[in-house]
Amino acid sequence: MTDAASTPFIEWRGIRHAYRSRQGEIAALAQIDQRVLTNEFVSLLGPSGCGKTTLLLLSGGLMRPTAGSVLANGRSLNEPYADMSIVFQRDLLFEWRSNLGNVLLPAEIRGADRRRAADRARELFRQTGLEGFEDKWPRELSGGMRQRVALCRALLPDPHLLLMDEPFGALDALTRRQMVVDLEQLFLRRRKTVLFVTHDVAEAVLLSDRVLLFSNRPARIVANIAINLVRPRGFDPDQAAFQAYVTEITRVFEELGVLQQQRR
Amino acid sequence: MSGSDPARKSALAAQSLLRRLLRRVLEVTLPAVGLLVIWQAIVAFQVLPSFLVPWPGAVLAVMVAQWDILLEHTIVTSSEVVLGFVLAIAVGIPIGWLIVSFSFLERTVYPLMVGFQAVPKVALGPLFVLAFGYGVLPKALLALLVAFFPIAAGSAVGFASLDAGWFLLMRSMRASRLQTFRKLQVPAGLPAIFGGLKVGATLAVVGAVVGEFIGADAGLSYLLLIANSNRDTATEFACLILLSLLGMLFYGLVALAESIAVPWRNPDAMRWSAQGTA
Repeated sequence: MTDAASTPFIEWRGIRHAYRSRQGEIAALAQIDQRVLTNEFVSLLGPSGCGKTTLLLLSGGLMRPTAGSVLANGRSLNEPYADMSIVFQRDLLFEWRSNLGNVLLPAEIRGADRRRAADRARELFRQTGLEGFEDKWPRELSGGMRQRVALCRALLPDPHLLLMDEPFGALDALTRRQMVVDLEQLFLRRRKTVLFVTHDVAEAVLLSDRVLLFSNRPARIVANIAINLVRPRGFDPDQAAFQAYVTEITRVFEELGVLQQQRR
Repeated sequence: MSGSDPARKSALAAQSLLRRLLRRVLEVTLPAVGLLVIWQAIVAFQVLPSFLVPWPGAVLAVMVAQWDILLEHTIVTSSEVVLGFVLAIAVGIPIGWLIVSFSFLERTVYPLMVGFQAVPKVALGPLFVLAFGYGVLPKALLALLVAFFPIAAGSAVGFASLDAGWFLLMRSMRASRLQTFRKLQVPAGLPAIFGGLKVGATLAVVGAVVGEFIGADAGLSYLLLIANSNRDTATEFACLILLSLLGMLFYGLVALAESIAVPWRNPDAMRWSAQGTA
């Protein structure tokens, strides 16, 4: 392991978070103390609505915690972290822009050189199998292709921190498997620190260096499981080892009584 | 792929566009011709007395003989409509945005707007004549009043139809408030805004007509009233036709602007722009 790979990139220090609602305060996060290393792919796995998304938004500086602090690259976050992109469950494409125009949006907002950005965007289209769809409209694409465009948009500024909130949650099972494999390829080609929210055990095991298991709301981290499977794992990881991880995670959720969320 | 392939494709596309255009022209003109035939029949068989409904030929004769006078009054009415419509846009769209952006305005100003919408604005006409005289301005103001509400309401719907995820996305890219407005809120709101503009355009014509009825010294409706008192139904019908053409023209201009500004909603424009950049 290199030096970079063992330094913490995201640090959660004593984080608690509560939402205010008409029924009073709703505690989303109980007590989170954890580090995510540079270039590490970490999945946040837990039941729906447990507060994983909240933690993700806190990690990007898109929200501030009720208590505690988030450090990104050693500094406390008070605003959206600059070297960061986020992919949501919904693609959130702008229907009025071509697919290429959608991918170029972050460059426009940063005021980056348009020609260089366009070159990079076309390269991303090629890498994600979208070549030839640059000048089509989002509505002409399938759900999986739209989500690829959203992924390209997130990757355009080549951010170091990539936040993904159930990015494949709205896709069909086959498309989803392909996206998992493609994402691993992109990750291996250009290492980043990735936080990946999911409630799919297999997806988490296939993609992650480490899986953090969350309890029901208010969420705590109940297990921290390093996944030592050889990369690239692709469609076909070491089946026995893969299954052992899935079983281990399943048992933790069984003990917590939150297993009804798992569908595979 | 052979080199002639794209050329052939675009020739085929041009041909199909021509065919569609021709069909569109026929779709519009054939019913109009049918209407003319019925009109002619109504006069010929005296279904309605001839002092009420003139011969189509007589109306045409008036339009040819009096074209300069008719044109002069058409220009007056047009300028009233355009001024009123532009004012309605200038006031309506910002108010629609304000209502959506500041919730206290939605709670305080919007009910007032709805209440005001219930006032028959025609009834304000005499007041405007008192205040602003017989010129273009009071008619334009009446057109503004009538056209304002659908434009403001359409804009409010347009700006409001955005969910929080888009704003979060813009924030994650560290977009400024202005960038968020320009790159997200305006284009996302355009379809609904144009919906309001189309209704507003035809209503603006109504506003100008009503304004001229109340008190005017020029304009198509002024001419129409004079012709009516002279029992000159041919001129009256000429005015009616010009007024409806005016309404269609303004509606068409808005629709044209829409197809340029909102190409992702228009399948034809989409096909063409996709070809242009391919």
